[in-house]
Amino acid sequence: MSEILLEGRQLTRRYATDAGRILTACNGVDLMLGKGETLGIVGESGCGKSTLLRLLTQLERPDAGRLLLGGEDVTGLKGEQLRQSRRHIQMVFQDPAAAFFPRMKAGDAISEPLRNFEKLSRQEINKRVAQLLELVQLPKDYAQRYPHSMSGGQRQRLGIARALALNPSILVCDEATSALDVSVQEQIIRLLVDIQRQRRLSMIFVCHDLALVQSLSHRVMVMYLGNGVEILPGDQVWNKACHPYARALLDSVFAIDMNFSKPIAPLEGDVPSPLDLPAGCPFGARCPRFMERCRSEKPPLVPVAPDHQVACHLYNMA
Amino acid sequence: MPMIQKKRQFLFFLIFVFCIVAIAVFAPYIATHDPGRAVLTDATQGPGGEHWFGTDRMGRDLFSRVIYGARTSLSATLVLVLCILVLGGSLGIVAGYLGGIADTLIMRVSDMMVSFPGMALAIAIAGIMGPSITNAVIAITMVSWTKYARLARSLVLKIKHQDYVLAAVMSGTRTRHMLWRYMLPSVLPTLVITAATDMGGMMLELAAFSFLGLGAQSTSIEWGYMLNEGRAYMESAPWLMIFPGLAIFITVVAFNLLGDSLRDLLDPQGSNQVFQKNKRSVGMMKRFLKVMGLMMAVFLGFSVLGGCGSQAAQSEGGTGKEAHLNFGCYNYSDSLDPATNVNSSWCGIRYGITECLFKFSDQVVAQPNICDDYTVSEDYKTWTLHIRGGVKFSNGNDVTASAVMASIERLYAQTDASQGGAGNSRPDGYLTYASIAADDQEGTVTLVCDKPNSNIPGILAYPYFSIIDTSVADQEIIGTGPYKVKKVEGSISMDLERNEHYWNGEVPYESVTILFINDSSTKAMALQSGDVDLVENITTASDLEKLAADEQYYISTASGVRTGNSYMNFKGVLSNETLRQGILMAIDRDTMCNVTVAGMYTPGISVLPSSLTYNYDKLTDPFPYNKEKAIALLDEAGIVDSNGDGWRELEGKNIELNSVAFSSRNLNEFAEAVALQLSEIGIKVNVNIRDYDTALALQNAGEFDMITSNALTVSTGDPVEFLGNWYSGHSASYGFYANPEYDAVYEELMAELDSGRRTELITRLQQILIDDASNIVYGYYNSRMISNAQKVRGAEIATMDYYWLTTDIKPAE
Amino acid sequence: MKRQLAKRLTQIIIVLLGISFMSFLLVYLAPGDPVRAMFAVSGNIPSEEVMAEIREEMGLNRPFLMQYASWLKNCLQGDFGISYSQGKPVAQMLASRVWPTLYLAFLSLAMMVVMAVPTGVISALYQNRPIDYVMRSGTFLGISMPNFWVGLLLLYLIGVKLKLLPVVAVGMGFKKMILPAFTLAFAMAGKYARQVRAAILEEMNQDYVSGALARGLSESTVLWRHVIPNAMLPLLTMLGLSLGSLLGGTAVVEVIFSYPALGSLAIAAIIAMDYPLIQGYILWVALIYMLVNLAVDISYSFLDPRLRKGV
Repeated sequence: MSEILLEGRQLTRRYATDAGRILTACNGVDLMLGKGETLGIVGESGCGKSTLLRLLTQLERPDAGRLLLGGEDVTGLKGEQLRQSRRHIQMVFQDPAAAFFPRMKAGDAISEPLRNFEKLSRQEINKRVAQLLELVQLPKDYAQRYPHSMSGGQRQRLGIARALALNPSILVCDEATSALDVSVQEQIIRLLVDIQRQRRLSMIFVCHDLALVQSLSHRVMVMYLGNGVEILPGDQVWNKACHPYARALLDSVFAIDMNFSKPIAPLEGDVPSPLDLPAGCPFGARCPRFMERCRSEKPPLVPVAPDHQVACHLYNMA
Repeated sequence: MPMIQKKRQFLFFLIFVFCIVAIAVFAPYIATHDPGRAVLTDATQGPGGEHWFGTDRMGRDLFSRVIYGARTSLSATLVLVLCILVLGGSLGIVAGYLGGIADTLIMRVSDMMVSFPGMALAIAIAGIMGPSITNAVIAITMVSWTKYARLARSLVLKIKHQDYVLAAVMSGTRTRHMLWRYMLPSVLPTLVITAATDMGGMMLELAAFSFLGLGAQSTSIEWGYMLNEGRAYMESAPWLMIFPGLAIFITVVAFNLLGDSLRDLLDPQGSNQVFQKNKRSVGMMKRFLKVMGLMMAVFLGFSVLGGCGSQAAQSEGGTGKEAHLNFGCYNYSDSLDPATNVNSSWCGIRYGITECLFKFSDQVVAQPNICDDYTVSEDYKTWTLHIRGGVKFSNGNDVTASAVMASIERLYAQTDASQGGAGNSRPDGYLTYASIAADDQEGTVTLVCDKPNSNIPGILAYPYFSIIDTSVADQEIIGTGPYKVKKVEGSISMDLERNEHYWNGEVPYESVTILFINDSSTKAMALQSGDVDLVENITTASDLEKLAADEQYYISTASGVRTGNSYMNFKGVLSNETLRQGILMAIDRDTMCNVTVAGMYTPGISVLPSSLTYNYDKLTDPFPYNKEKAIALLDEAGIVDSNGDGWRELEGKNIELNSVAFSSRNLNEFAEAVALQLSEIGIKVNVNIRDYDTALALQNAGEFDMITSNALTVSTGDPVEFLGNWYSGHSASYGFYANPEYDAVYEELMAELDSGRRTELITRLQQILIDDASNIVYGYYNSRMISNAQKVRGAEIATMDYYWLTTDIKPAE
Repeated sequence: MKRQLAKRLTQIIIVLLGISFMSFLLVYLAPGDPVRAMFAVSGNIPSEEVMAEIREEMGLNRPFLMQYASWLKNCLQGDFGISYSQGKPVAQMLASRVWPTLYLAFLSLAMMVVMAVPTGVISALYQNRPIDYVMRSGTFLGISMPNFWVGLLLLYLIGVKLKLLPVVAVGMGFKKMILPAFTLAFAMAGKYARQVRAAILEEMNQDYVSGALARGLSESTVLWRHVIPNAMLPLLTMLGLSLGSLLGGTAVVEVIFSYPALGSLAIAAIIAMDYPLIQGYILWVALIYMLVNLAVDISYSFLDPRLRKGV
């Protein structure tokens, strides 16, 4: 793998609820992102994807674990230092409608990152804005428009333009296409891929659409209940995924070419809540291959093949 | 209501409000007169003719004042609302966005404010800080910001986690920009709307403050204050109260309508006619009304039952029956113990409970009372006082010489902190004695003073020295007066009963109820409604006029022993004699006393009241009121206006007199009236109305050109102390007057012990002060006793403030 | 539940401490000399030396925190100092007026409810019909007229001109309190009636009401057993707040009608610059207010089952 731009070690984030119980959104997640690489993250709602993203983008500080940006530990940064480190990692949001301040024109929204870090003249700013709009294939005069007067797809392009304003090395997409119509989705994905290739951008792509994630990502991480349970190359997901949860996910995808005679085996058991996590494997209660060991010991991520790690006692020989 | 109608409504009310604002802005063009221009003799005229709304008690045009008042009232309200908005809004935004300690702190403080009845706190704050519009605004802001803070905070919390906020943070936007560019614009519209709907209420609160005397003062033209002024003239000049009140009302209505229509406009929810109108509704409504009606009936029933029989017993007259008197008076003190403080000692004598060894006549000369005879040594140090025989306390105990001595000793002991006394009276300011002894056989008390003193009778007539029964003094105050205390109900009322052992004649009433009424108008109304049959001192002009016009009421007036005057500072520009003389000639004392303060004072020229025995009639006034002569005098002396700005100059500089006054006994009205009159001859006066404390401080510091004063000139019957204010040794706090001739006569007076010679000297001193134009004397404060002539007779007021309920006051035949 | 109560009580104590500190600070910072203020009342100012002595006696030369601490200590023992103007213990003076204040407040509150609730309900039910407009105009007048004006007019018309009711509200006989209570109630009724109307309208627009009607429940049942009770709950808290403002806002009415309760005591104290009395007043009113609110909240939690679980 090329140089590691972003690394998360045992990232943990907990919240205290009103009733006094602890909600563990992220439970010791390990993550690595290389240059020019796309990492896809999949999982159900409540698995902690959004929280993980907030930790990675330093919108929140982890309760335990470390975050390294370009090799430097940025976990405890505050104030101006923190602000400066934001230049390197930017995010595209899920809901284009909510991602823009209604009172701000599109051009101002895009140029805001610029104005925050550099002292540029009005012409300079206008020039950069025009460049960015061109990059995302939006007409130049859109700079004077308000975001709410654009379509969802256009707004999402705008979001990408804003995210790229500072030329970050890492782009995080939080379900960036989920709120869009399918036809539009494709355009956006294509755009992202183009940009990535041009700039050798690293990307983290969070999605619940397995097929999409597979096709887009160099590597994929499967998350369950705040834990990363499997990491493997994107093109191997369909065939080589071995964690019981990952397999269950894959099995639940209906495809035209699937085996129609095979019985549909839904997962048994209640969905546990991230409140008061049990010790042991988080998937234990629902795992069809549950063992005694799984109740008491949480399985760590161990490699089972080059570039392929799994957190499951079935594969943990230790 | 369809949208278009809502918009139209809003627009309509907006225009309405704009009109009012326009009136304020264009006041100079709309007003018919100068709102500050006073023509004293035109006071309190009705609406009509030249004055569309009539005139106020200074002769100023009311219409113009109401128009100009819009400026003050509107701007003050606007400032208030803005302050609340800014303070509350910013605190709320900060609390909401930053969270953590800032949030906790701000929210705790806000909880604290909410846990307190706002107005009470605001009143207390304004009171402590001193009354002024600014302080009223500050006080109200301090208790009202919490609503806006909570609103702003909740709005911020709602948007704080929106994606665009996160995006902005990720874009590296600094926190202060986040607050300013994102939070504030999102919060502002709601806050402004809330503020608009609150304008009306805020205006009412400011007006209430001014009404209570805690807001605008007389120097500003403000509606609430005008209402307060007009209240005294409710019956004789109701327009003074009607028009400012209407102005407030209309403005508040306008703002409330605006606010309502704004809210309607923005309120997404209209109305769904959920319940159909049909017979069922009507039936239900009937049932509802029945229930409510029943509740009200029960309510009223209880009230009627509760109300019966709780009225005070009516005053009754006639001999042979149980004669009872209801006496309404201001509550100066709940205590009657002469040692507690000045007020309580006065109350004891005023209510006829206690008496002193001596008593002042109407010429304020000390006459024997409980002491019926006395001798004094040649050096005027040893006084032997003979106690009248047969005098008893109201509990039957004899008033012996020892009892008298014990009473005096107790007074000193109780007011001496080193002996553990808690009383606040200061008898040692009047008399310090070396020894006191009692001889019960002879019935004499011998007092040896520290220094020679010719006025022991006068001093002992002072209420501090009232004689009480020390053997029971810890439980109750028992004196020798015609009445004794039966029951005290807090600050509400006091029940008295006849002292069966009274030594000095018949006590007309079997029982007396004193009702404490602290408001002059209410006192007058209580008299008229029959709740009381006797009241002391009505100070509100219109009530007094009305009672005077009604034959049913008898008003006894005594030009008392208090002089109202203004000291002049001889260390300032007023050291110029011609200027002083011109000033005196420009002042119409008679109109001020009779019209402006509606007869509260008897006009006078000397610093000593005309009612005293010091030859007032023989004094001459070289500077009577003559405006033209005043102008001529100043012109001749070269004190003219050379630069055309309308004000005269002295030695090249504009004359600007700093006139300090405090609001008590009409002194502020005098100061204003003087300022107005002087401005008519071209002398500029700045009137500074302060609280008593501050005014006194200014006086002591010599920071004034003129300063008002209302002083009791003869608390012990002898004016020597008061006259000392102009003695160069003491005059530092009274204007630095220094005249060698005055000093010489005064020093002679201090040493002189013969009363005849003293009178001569005192007469001379008065004339010197008059000839020197040394201060502006207004007059002498009138005391009054008003009674219902059909029920009470003999209700005369004494010259001296100490005597109210005397045995001369009897039921009418 | 008990834990919540304890928490509330501690909160009250903390707030009281804060308020006492603030009021003490205010007085300390206020212009003017307290000793001179003491004598200003009688107009009899002693010499500077005497005043300096007194200042020393009263401990006014000690540092601020010490003065505050000793004042606080005294307060906790029930000694709120001696009033400058009356020479009596502040605690006693305040105590004698607490009951009249509460009595007037509750009476006004009762009147207000009797006036406001029917008005509000009728207004809501007959929304936008003539009677609604009439009532709304009435309430509008109520909130727009300065209450001291109303009081004066009433006093004049009913007390003097018509001699229907006693002018001087001395003693707590019910008849004497009608006018002051009514004056207070009138302005507040206007505001409250509008709140009642809004609350009922909002409740009527809830989905469950449409659902209930659709299921065939009669209008009167829905109204009396569901809408009004549910709407009343938030109105109860507003009632508590109204009580609070009544406690504080009686000053004007007390002055006009000469009704001796806490408000007029405060005004008199302010005019006389009687600082101990002012400080005591602030503290007492705060305490009463919070206790009353606590009582309201407790009763509120009994009425609303949703709250019982965790107050």
